Amino acid sequence: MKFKKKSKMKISIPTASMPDIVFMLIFFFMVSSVLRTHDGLNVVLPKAKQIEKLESRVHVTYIWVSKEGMISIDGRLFQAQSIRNIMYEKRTTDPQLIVSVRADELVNMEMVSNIHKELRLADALAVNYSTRAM
Amino acid sequence: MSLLKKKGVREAEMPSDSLADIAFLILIFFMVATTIDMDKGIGIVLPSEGGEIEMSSKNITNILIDPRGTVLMDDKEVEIRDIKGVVETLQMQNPKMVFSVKAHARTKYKVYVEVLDQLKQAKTRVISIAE
Repeated sequence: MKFKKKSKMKISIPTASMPDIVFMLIFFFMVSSVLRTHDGLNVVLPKAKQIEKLESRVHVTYIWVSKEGMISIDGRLFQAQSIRNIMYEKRTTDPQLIVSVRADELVNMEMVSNIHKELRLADALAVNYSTRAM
Repeated sequence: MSLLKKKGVREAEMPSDSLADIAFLILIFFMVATTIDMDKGIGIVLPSEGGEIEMSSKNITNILIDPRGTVLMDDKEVEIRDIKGVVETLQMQNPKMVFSVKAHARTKYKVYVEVLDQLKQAKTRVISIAE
């Protein structure tokens, strides 16, 4: 019988530290995950295929535009004309500012070009149209 | 004295074998429950105020969108899903081609994003937003 050759040495991976490793992973996930819900308006974002991720949230400001034509920045409602002042201030404090436009798919382009105009006046030129993945 | 001596005789030990399992369970729960919702979208850089540049008209393709969502590319009607193909051929013919998107005031944002998406899919270098 050739099959009896199995060695009698017991090999075991030490599992005593396993919980520690796993807990470490838990803490990592708990700390790194951001449980932030957006404080904005109720919008249905348009769909797109060729989308890119925003690298960091640090430099991003959101402009919410609902289909009724309301504009919200940082949880407050604004008129389109006041965007330039808000964005100009933000732009001065953070030159890497990216403006993320979260507009409803039924918003008229008039609204969007007004926002464009305001952003250009504020020199906040990096814009990202928020979309859903298709 | 006998009362005091009783300590230490019985060794009470918590079974720690399953601790790893429990921890894994919690870990998996957190991994599933957290959505690292990165913001996704179509990035674009607006022209700076007063920074308009003159361009030779043969390097520009005008894309017009009317309120009903019809797309005209250099005065020819194009289906939205065909834009990508048309743009790719135009780019092949002229690598300097700039695509200028102009939308009517009552055009829906949805159509506009769809058109931009098509342009992005065709790997367009320069997209100009006409107002």
